[in-house]
Amino acid sequence: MKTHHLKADVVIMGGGLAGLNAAIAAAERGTKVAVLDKGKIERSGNIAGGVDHFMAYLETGDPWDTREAYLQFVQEEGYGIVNVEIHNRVFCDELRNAISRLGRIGSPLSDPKTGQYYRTASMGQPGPYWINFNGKNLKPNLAKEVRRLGCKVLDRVMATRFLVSGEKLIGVLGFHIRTGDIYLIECKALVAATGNTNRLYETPTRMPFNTWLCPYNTGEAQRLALEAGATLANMEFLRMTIVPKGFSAPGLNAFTGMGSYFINGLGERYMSTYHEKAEKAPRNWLVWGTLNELREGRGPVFIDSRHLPPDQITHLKKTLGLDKETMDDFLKARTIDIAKEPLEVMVSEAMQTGPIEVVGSGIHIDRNCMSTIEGLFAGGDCADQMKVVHMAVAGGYSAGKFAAEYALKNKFKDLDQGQVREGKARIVAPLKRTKGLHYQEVEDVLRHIMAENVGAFRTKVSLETAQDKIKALAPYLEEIKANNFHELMRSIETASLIKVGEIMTHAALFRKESRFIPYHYREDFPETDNTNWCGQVLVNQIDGRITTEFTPIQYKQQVKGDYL
Amino acid sequence: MPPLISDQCIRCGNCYDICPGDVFDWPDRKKKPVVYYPIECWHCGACRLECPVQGIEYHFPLGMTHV
Ligand SMILES: Cc1cc2nc3c(=O)[nH]c(=O)nc-3n(C[C@H](O)[C@H](O)[C@H](O)COP(=O)(O)OP(=O)(O)OC[C@H]3O[C@@H](n4cnc5c(N)ncnc54)[C@H](O)[C@@H]3O)c2cc1C
Ligand code: SF4
Ligand code: SF4
Repeated sequence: MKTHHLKADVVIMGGGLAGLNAAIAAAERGTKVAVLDKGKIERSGNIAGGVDHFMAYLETGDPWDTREAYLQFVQEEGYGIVNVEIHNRVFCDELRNAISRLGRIGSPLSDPKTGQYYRTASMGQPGPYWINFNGKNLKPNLAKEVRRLGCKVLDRVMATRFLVSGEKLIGVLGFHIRTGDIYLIECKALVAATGNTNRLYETPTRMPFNTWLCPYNTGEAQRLALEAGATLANMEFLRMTIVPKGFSAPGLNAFTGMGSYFINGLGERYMSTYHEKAEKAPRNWLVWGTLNELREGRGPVFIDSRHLPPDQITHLKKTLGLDKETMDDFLKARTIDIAKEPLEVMVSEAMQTGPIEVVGSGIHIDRNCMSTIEGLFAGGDCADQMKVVHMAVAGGYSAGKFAAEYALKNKFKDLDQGQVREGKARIVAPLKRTKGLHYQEVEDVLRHIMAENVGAFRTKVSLETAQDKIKALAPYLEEIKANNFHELMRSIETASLIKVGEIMTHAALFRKESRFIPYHYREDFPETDNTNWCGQVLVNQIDGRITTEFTPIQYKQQVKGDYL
Repeated sequence: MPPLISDQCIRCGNCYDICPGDVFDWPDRKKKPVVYYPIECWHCGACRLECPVQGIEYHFPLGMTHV
């Protein structure tokens, strides 16, 4: 295992959607950029196989289509934990630039033939904020631009430890998941962009990699940041969605955006009994309604598209395939034609990520996307104020921009060789063991604990039970044996999963109210309490122990010009 | 289990190169890549998107198609 020692002004940890936009921003500002990714940046992460929806206001003259109306929606949807000022600065300020960048690199949001946008509304939006587009090649196109700009791309290098000096981030350690070579990279700034945490909860099919979001994103940035002394926030929230029975895959927006209905086993449209917007309600309400139908014995549940006219069915099928490349294969394997019959659906596994399309969960960032550790920035799904594609593209770019501005004003710092030695020893430990547990054995237990105790229905007792069980499981990390570098990657992922599980459990126990049900539903505190809990739960690690505290957020009645 | 590499494969290595989950191995470059960790496949479709011929087919396990 050779060690490669490099220096870069800005390191991008995770070359996914946010990371590549961050890399472009940093390179455009003249900094020397290194991008590392577990996969190959052309097809890594969530959008390896494509995407199809981008949320945006376009200022076309309609009253809902302005920055102000959009921010009002953001405030209402993310009420309690969204920071509208950060949203405005990191997303809205970069939106126009983001839309033109996507066009420039060859993945325009408008139809290339007509120049028109195809817009739909769902998820509680006041107007059609979703733009349907062909994002099949968005990732390879961004990767091409990153390489053209001269960034040093380290494909298949997994980041495993941050190097710090006092409260400053000064480098990162990682290893190549195929050669085993170690990478030691000194930097002035680092943008963490490794996405949310999956493989954390049991899946309905009991197949750990059959997940809605990318199963190879396992919360490394969240763990590394916490261990380096940074604060995390919004970690109590889980997220689930509605997926085709058997296949945890995206597509819900496409169905509800086109006007499909949910029906229960009695053939009744049930969503209007849960929310005034029925199928157009925010995602958490769709999950809540569906969970209740199933709990109360009115399953199975279906998405019914039979009433849609043929042109809309054609558009829907196309969009589903853009979102999940293999959806058509799956529907064929199940012999289902959505034009002719309702599609049976299920509630997906849970995961750690922001509860709503407009607010994230993870590294607590300020208005410059910087964490509480100097030099450590975050973008995309691992940042507490970013979420999904639109924010990964525009917000990821902001993170790279601010990181570059910071790097240009700062110098490299001397590394602490003790930290480097310790970090390297941790990487190789699972390889050196002559016998031990397979990573899956440990992970399976974690998923079971999380699903049973930290899921959609939580109580003080269930959360304390989870705490005890995770505490008892954690020492087994020291007994995992990896037989090759691929398994070594998975073993390190297991360590991140256990840490994220522990953090979520602590944060969920701390927030004694319910919000975005069922994404944080405390059966012992079932109401939303805006008097005492309008704000974020902040999580830190001090001397190896997780601590939690509350920071309030104040909102204005109306989002007015002062943010704009 | 997913995916399967068919006889159309021309051994270009793209699938091995780009799979986000490192599901393939390619120990013998004269032969087709091997689906080494089938249970870790996410069915993202990237290998098929990058395959220059029709070398990749998806086969879903019964636990997905018959539940
Ligand atoms: C199939 C699918 C379709 C979707 N469709 C839509 C849509 O249409 N509209 C929408 O708004 N949202 C959609 N989403 C959600 C959206 O894709 C994500 O929110 C978005 O990609 C987040 O960007 P990110 O950069 O944070 O994560 P990613 O794009 O997943 O990037 C994270 C990267 O980090 C890398 N990585 C992880 N850990 C490490 C490590 N330790 N070291 C090095 N690298 C690491 C990963 O390999 C990956 O490349 C979809 C998600 C999926 C899965
Ligand atoms: S479908 Fe995706 S995860 Fe599965 S083997 Fe192909 S590239 Fe890898
Ligand atoms: S991408 Fe296609 S042709 Fe190339 S090695 Fe894989 S299956 Fe064979």
